[in-house]
Amino acid sequence: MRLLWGACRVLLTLLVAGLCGVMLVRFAPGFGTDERELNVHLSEGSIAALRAGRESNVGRIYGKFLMNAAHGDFGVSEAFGTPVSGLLRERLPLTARSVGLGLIGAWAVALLLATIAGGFGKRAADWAGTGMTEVLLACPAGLVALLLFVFFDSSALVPAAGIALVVFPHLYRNQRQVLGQAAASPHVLSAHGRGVRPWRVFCFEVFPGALPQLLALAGTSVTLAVGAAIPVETICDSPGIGQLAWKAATARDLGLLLPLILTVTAFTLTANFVADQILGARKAVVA
Amino acid sequence: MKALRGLCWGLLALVFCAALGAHWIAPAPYEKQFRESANAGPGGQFLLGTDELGRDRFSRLLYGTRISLMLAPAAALLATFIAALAGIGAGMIGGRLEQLVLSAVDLVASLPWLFLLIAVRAVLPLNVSAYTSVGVTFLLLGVLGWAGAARVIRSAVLAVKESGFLLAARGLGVGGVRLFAIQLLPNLRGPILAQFWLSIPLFIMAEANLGVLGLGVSEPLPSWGNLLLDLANHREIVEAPWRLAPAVLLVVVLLALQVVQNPVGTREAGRREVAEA
Repeated sequence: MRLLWGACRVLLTLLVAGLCGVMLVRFAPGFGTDERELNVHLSEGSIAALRAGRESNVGRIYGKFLMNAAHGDFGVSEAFGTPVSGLLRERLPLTARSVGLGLIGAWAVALLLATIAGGFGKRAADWAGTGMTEVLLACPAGLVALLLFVFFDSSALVPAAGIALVVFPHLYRNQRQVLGQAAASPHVLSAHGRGVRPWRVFCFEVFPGALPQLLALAGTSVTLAVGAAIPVETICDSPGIGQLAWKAATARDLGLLLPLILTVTAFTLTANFVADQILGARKAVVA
Repeated sequence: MKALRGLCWGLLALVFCAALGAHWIAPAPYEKQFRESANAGPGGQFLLGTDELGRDRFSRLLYGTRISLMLAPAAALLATFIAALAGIGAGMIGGRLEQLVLSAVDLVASLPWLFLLIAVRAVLPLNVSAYTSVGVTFLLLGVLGWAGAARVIRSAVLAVKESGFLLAARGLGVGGVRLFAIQLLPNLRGPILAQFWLSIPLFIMAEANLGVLGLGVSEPLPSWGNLLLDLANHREIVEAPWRLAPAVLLVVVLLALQVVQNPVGTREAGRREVAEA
């Protein structure tokens, strides 16, 4: 039941996001204008036919979009002159790879530092983690990408490294806090008092106590990583979804931007949904 | 820590004053081109050298700082105002309004912030004058940046609503505007102010990201965002490190903002991230 309700919520949010997107496109300045109307060789009848074929009702535009989307047809990109579904298929794997590698890297380093600093109370790791966090939090994703591009432009791992550097400070700050709180709880202190080995206390007491918040953080980190993909891919010239979104925005290709935004929303909602379900299943097991 | 905070306040005040007085401090107008001195290095006439059009980098940095530092708080004020309206309305009235606000917050939070910004920016005309682009950029930040803050303010309203002193005031017959203005609002001042302060660095960073992508403030007006874009054209940063000046100033100002916001900022940032999660 919980799974069904969660899936319905994801679908509903996606539908409302799509409706908002269609409304934005419909009421955007310049909607419905066609440069072909400026062609002096066209007769008044041809221009009238061009105008007649254009839909302006939001409900009908959205209905048609959904019907076509159900068959995998997202229309044709004006800027690229190719089907949007082809562009998404082509670029999605690259972004998924960069985001995946970036998340793995950021989680590995942040969790390691947060475990040593928060779980075992080592000062040096805390200073290193906090210092990196403060500096990286003060660096916009665009600046991180620019510096990486300037110094390591030939490496294929640069987009993943950029995403990892953007996500890391958010992960470390929360993980350090959560693990620190769990390590200071009375039953953990009692276990230390009884002489249980520190790594055993961490594995069986501290980490399981912090797991629910870490799972919630996993969902949020996907949203952060996907957001960071736009400046990182654009600046590092990595042909993924982020760069496509930027190209669609600068070319004002709203027909491409709408399915793109829906794809990204579906991606992030699914990630959060999966994290919620794992959290729910764990709570049920504990209960 | 106190000394560091004092130092950061001093630094912020200095940068703020320099930005405000850009008109008097800058050796040249930000758009003036010295064609005979294009790409010049730092020297007596040009403190940070010139760009490829011969414009004085130091003057552009001062004017760019003014735009980014003045308008980010303005956008933060707008976002916090919208968030306070939505959060207080949802918390106080409850029912359908609360559901509506929470759904809107969920919807905005479900999309990565930068995707949302560039999608809405693309819908608006891109070929606009430099001054219009400044207005559009920061208005967009203000209008779209309210969601996280609204959720935190709503939680604060719910906590105050259930508190003993408010129930006592209600029991004494205080109600309506008086209850809101005298009892509720002063107790919400802390969370609302914290959200305002937290939004400023977020909006400075968002403007920088939009500027780097060429969707922020348009040329010839300088801003930290479009000044950073200049880095992409130069591989010889090691030989010409003065080109990093806008990046260094941006990072230093954001670091100083983080330090002066602590510990309230850290606690509220954590609360906001937990609320968004």
